[in-house]
Amino acid sequence: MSLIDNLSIGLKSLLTQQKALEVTGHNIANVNTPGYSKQIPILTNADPVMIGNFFLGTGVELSEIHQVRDRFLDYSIRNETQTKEGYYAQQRIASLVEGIFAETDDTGLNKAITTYFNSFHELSVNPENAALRNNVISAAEDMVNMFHARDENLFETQKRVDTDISSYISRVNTLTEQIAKLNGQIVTAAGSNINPNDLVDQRTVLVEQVSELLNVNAYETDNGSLTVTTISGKALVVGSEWFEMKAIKDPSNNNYSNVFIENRGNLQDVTGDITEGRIGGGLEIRDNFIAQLRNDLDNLAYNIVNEVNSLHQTGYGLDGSTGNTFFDPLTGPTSKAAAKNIDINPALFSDVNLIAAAGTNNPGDNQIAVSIAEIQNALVMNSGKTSINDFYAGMINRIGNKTRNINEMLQVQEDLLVFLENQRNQISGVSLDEEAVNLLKFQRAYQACARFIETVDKMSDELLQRM
Amino acid sequence: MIINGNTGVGSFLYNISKIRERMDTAIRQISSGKRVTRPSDDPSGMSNIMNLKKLTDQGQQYIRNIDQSLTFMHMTDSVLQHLDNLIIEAKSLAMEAASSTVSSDARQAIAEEIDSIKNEILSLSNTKILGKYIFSGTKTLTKPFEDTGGTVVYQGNTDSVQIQMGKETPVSINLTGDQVFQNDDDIFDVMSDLSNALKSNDSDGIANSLDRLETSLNQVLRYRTVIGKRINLVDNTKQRLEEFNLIAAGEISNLEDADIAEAITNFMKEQIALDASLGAGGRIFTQSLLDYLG
Repeated sequence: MSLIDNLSIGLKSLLTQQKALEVTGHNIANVNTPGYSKQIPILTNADPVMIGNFFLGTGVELSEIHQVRDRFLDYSIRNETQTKEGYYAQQRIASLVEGIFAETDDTGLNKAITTYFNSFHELSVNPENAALRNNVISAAEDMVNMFHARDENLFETQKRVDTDISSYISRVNTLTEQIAKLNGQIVTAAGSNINPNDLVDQRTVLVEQVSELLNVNAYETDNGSLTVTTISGKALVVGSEWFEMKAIKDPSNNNYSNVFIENRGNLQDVTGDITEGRIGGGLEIRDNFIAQLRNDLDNLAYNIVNEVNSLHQTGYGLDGSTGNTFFDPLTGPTSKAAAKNIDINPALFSDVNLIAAAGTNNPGDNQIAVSIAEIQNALVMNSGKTSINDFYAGMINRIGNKTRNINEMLQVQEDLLVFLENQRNQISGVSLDEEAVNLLKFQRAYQACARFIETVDKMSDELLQRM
Repeated sequence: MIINGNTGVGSFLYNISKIRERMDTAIRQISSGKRVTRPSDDPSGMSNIMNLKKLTDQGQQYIRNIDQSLTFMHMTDSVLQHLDNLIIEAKSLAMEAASSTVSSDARQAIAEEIDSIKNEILSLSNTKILGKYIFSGTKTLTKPFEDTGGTVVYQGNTDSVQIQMGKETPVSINLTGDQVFQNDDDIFDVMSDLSNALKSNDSDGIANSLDRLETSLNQVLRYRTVIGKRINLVDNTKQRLEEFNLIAAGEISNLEDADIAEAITNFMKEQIALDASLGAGGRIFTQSLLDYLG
């Protein structure tokens, strides 16, 4: 090997150290980039050449820029994120619902119901009294308005969750489109033996963002592309192709949206697959938690109307009339929409003497008033097993327990994720201390290489001078 | 294991937010005075609180019912006492008139007094409280006794007015006119007959009336006893309800009220933790080797 050849060793080494420095610089620049994994320049000695009886080395080269990434940690984090975001979505709404049913003060549906029935007690002591009759109507109005308001609140909350779900679905599509594009770029780069480290980082971030919205399976194929599917295997991203998610209204469920994937003209219903992430949490709250509460509220209103009406119709008003209902009758085989539709018989507004307190046509008779008042203690809910008060307390209890449970699970997930993120950070995160040392390292090596080149240059110069 | 600058940041921020959450809970308890403000704070405690509040609400309603009934019954009793006095007065007049030394003119005069007593009794029998007749049974808007040309006819019914004072069977609070005034003997008849006997100077008739007046007096006495017993019963029921409500209120307070001292201590504890964490965080995250190079 000639002296001049040494120059190429020097140059190659110089460039290699420079590249290593660039990687260091890249790391430092990305110290705060979310999802960035630090890259390590792998320096290997270049292939030696055979000169005479010796292998002579040919310097250093950069064989690989290695990305420090723990695949299993990525998978764990993605998994736990799905779960956490599911609880997070549920918690936001459960807190709202809890607020709707805040009952510790002397207001609220429970109090309104109690006051309504107690107004009949008051009436029973002086059934002839017009002021007390007006109070009954007034208390009934409060209760009816409360039912309407609660139903409205729950309905609005449900609608809001539904709207959220639709917008999350749009977001999923934005993400999967980008993932598909990155897949294409990564496969091409891998094919040309270039490590697409930064592209992989970006793709990982996107997949994690998808996981926030719904639970997915994501696995790498041999050519480096990431396949993303729902948990039952319906494809969202395959290679550089992505499949659009759609929100389709279900008329059998108040026209709330179900989730579909469109795959080559076929619509696949994946609503059942989505149990976690923000979409999963939203579905659970919308279709189970709130739906159940509305059902319970309807049952309560329905039974109150029917129990009061059937007693009231047998009773006599002060004017001697009988057969009047207190509330507008709630028709319909089921109790659906009872809470929205409950209303006082309008005839009672114009003449409170129609209120039937008496069991016989005598003004001092208060039997019906007493019986109606005591409905609140009777077992009229759950097919004769539960009283109105216990039923309502049961509703509040369920709300409380569910909310508490969600809060606790969310806490557990948050703790777990903090731990896992820390782990990942230790492995993949950029340490400014470490990079500072690397800066020095590669800078010195660069300087030394430069010195080497200078030395060879001087030696060549000497040689040339002599010629 | 390399700990880089970013390792602590995530958990640091997370822990700070947890401290703030706990401080927030403590503040909420202190300012509201309640340990349980939302169902999720303590679901089963909340159920118990709701049940107890329902019971006390109901208890208070029953107490209100009782108070009104007591007013009614006390007024009834006072009417009966008045009636008692009137009959005694009539009896004393009759005894005076029974003496053989009394002239028929004097007896005429006494007859007029008896008539006026009879009218007073008629008035009493038609007493109204709060716009309803107390002796008509449940026909409370109908006058119980009407004087139809000499005979007094009962126009009410025999139903009892029953008030609910608890979950047990209701209590009857009224007496019907036919019981008080006409049960063993018809007071109005007694008075009319006495008046007639006096006017016609009928000594036997007068003597007979004395016995009948005695019967009437006992009749009234009997019903005063009935009312008296009912008033006692109702008073006892009220007392029981009040005691129960007191205990329940104490229990509600136990379940619901915050231990202010404890909440304040918690708050201060978290405050200290917050100060320390923020101070430490402020120091750790600012240094790296780069500060010291070149």
